[in-house]
Amino acid sequence: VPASELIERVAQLIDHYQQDISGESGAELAALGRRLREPVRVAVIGRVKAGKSTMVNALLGQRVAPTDVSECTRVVTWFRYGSPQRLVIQMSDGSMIERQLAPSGLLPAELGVPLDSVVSLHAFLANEPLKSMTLIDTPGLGSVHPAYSATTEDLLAASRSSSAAADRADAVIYLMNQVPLEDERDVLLGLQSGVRDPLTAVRALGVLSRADQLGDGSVDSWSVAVDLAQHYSAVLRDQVSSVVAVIGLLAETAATAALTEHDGRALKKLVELPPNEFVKLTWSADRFLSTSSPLDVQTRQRLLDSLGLYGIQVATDLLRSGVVGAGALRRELAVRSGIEGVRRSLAGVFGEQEHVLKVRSVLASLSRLSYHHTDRPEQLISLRNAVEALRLDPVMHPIAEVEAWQLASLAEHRLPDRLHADLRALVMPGTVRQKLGMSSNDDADPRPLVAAALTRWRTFLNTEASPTQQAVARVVLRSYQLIWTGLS
Amino acid sequence: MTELAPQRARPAVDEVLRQVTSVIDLLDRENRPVVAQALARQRDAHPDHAPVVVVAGEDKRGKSSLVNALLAQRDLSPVGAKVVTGSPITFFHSTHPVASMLRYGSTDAEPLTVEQAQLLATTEGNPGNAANISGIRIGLDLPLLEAMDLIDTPGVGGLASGHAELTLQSLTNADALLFVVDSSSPLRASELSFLRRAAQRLQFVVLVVTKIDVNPGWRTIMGDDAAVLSEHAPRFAGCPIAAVSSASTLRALTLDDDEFAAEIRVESGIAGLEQLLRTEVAASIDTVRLQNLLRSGISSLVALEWDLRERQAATSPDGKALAGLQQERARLEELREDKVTWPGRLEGQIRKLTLLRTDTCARRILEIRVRYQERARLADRNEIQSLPGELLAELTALAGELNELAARQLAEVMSAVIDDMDTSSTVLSGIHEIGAMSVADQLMPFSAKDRKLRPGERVQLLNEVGRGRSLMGLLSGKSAVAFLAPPFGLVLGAGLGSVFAFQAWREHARHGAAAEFRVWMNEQITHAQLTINNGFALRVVDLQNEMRVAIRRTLAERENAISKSVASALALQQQAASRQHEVRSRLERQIGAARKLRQTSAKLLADLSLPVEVHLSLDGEDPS
Repeated sequence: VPASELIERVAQLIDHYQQDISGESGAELAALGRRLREPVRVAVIGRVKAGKSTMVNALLGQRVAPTDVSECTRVVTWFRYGSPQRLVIQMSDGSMIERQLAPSGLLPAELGVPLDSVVSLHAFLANEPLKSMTLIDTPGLGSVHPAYSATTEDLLAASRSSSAAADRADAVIYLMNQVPLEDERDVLLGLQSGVRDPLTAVRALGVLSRADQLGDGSVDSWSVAVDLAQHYSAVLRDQVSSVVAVIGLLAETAATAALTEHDGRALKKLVELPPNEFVKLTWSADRFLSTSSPLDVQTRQRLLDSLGLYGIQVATDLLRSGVVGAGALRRELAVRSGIEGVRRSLAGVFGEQEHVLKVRSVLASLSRLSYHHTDRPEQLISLRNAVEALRLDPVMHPIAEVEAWQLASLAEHRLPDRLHADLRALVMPGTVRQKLGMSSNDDADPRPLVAAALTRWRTFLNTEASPTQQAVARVVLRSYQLIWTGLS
Repeated sequence: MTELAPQRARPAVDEVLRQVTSVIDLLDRENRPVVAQALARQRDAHPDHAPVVVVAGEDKRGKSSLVNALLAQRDLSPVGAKVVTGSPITFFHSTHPVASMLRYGSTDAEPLTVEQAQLLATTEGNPGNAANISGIRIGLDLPLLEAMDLIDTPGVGGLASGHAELTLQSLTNADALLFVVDSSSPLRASELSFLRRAAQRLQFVVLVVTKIDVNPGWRTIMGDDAAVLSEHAPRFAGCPIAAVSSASTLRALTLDDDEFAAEIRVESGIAGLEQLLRTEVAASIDTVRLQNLLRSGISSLVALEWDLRERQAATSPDGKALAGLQQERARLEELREDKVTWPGRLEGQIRKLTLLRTDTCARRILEIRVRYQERARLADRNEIQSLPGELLAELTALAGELNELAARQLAEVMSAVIDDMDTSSTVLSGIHEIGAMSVADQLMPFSAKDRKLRPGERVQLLNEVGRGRSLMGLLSGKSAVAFLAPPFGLVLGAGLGSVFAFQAWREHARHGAAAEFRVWMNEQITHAQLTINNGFALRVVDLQNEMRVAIRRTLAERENAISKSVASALALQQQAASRQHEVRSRLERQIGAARKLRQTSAKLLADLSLPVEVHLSLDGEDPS
């Protein structure tokens, strides 16, 4: 099914009802219609100081989100594509305040309005990556200020009010700081908010940020981080599609051209130090600043701020191995930072099924709208029926799969391991062969596998499945039937 | 208690003990015997044991590294990116290296080598605490240990459940707490609430900010931490904060440069922290213990005072409060009556859980059986030797894993049932607590009790698996004893039997082949399956009863308390103004007495402490 057809079908439905439904519901309907044409919405979540803003900057290749503790880090901030560049402050009384942005796009440290009355910030930037993805920077989870963390949870979970539902994220980048914590996982599972709409592997990518701070310094932090990321990929396989390691600071510096020729020359001077002296100079951050060296203290502070201790070691290693010039150094540092892995995973996970995620969110909002509003009931009932009919269309089957997977990822509906693996393969992006658990260069006839899977699931459906699991099994049987039809 | 350090003008020991005794008396008078007894135990604790310093904090904050850095030993307490401490490890002084472990339900320490102890202390070496260990002790001849015991604890807040309870348990005998946080991000809400729980009966707390070598911004974070403490937990606002880098200290040990290593030890804050522990804890341990005693008393008084205030609010002539109370009492009555549905729902849920678990167990065991049959078919003679050991280890791990799964699911069931019962009452939190406690209490000793076979059962088991071989021969066999120790943390009830059977099988296998392994394996697997399922089913019946009783008891207790409040409020309403005044002023007097005692305790504590601030207002104290 071409992805665009999914969008078209829902768009048609919305257009059709747009004419009949007015008032508040009509406005919501219009917003949902617009949302279908918007890029997929990816929220960056994690604890306070997990490196969320750093990640946003690295992905945008532009230093737009303040990374220190400023007012903006306490409010949900949307980064959208738009020109001219501007900042729109959405206030709790419904009004919007518009502000100019500096040419660099960096958000101001102070907003000039009472923080308590700000709902969210919307930065419109002429930034290429934003054309395909709206990024949402969020306040830290598990903060001692519960109100800040609550706004993030609202963003992720279906809130009680349907208008808030239209403002939700489609997918999530979850930054874990060295270790996933229980309260963070609860947020992923939607437990915190009490609404059972868990983020699952389909919608979330895990990132082990601060990969440069792992280990005890006796082995390369990066190799420790890669190893650990693999470990957490397995531990959290139901919550995130995978976990990738990244050195946020290095990625940001490399991507935003913050490293100058002057810095390159300074690093070169460090390379010329005797090895013993270099080791002792880079022993700790404090030592790097306090030990006498050929560089003045401002330059050292600058290097430390933009590269970190690990980054300085990597950069000098690169210079020793013959890399010349700040430009080449930046490219190499970008490679070492692991940011490409994050981009690849993003494209792989959200890119291929971006439409599915978006349409899923819109359909959920449509259903909620048709049930929760009381004006013009006859049109809303008709809308409700139309949404249900659309859901049954084979074109919409990927949505049903994602929802089945979400159900199955709740502990009480957990499937037997084999079936769980079947469902995960079906729901994750890939070719038909991959969805059947074959390697993509395997030429064998896939049909016997489909037949076996059908038998397996039918047996499960008719024997041990609980009612919820039966619903899941029916979706999966349909998936295999559709695959079978496609093969013959 | 021995004599106090003479250089400071401090309250006499007698004065503190008198004070604590009056606190105990007050608690007794106010009908809080459990708290009073706990405090009395702390007061009467034997004064001669070495000072105990506990290192605690969230997952992966560098607790084990800190212990290693303090002791100047690389890799003593197991560390590594994936290594997670799963059991509390007590390091104590011993002229020659010794180690032992203690299991739940047992009072006898089992000797280990230091290496075994290090492995078993991690979640890798003992997944899901399959070996059912409650604590590990390692004795070494290290200078710092002459002055104090150090306890490394499992991290809390991570994805492994049960660690918080283990850590809180190891705090019962602690004299000082090193609370470890990371310098990359400020204190989190969950860390703060754990700190509050952990320091209930401890006055001496040091906030240790780690990993400062890689975080240039550690000073800012440290400032943020101090601000968070003074805003959200003023009790800890004055506690010393130590910024350290364990990794940098430990790394310096690898260079062949003692002078540099010493320099780094100072620079990275480890030397300073060691000094602090030596002078402020070890050298003044008697004072520290008196302080802890006072702190413990204050914590109990704070709880008492909150309670009395609640009652005072309830007896105020405000009609609304009374109506609310009466309503709640009616609801509680309803909940306790047998016509309500929660006991049935509880039973249904638990039965469903048991079935699901049996099913999971069967499926997993089938998978193991198929795999090992295949392996036995393909294995050559040498490989087949290692199969029994691997099989036992896998079955053991499975049992542990199923246990943990069950614990989690039971807790969920419990929560769901309680949430369904009643959604608006303040009773909920109370029941939740009791629920969590009884689940933990029940499941912790679960495998331990099951492993202890009664003599009759043991003989029967041995008869079964020994197949007529001499029991005494098996029992006295040296190899059997060796197998009781790890590497396989034997958790199954059949564990003991399996060991003997394994021995028997090895004898056989000298002439045997894969077919014999299959026979032996099938027996083991069947036995394991039975043990796992039956043990669980039995335990669940107990647990279910206890949960039911606990819920009823909580409801009844709460109802009683409310009834009292309602009665006194009603009485007040009916009585003359002067009489009303009298009752309310009696409550006022009770609160006054508690407050006065708390404040004199706090003053005493202030006199005992050095620059540590002590708060006199109740606002700074958390209700507990």
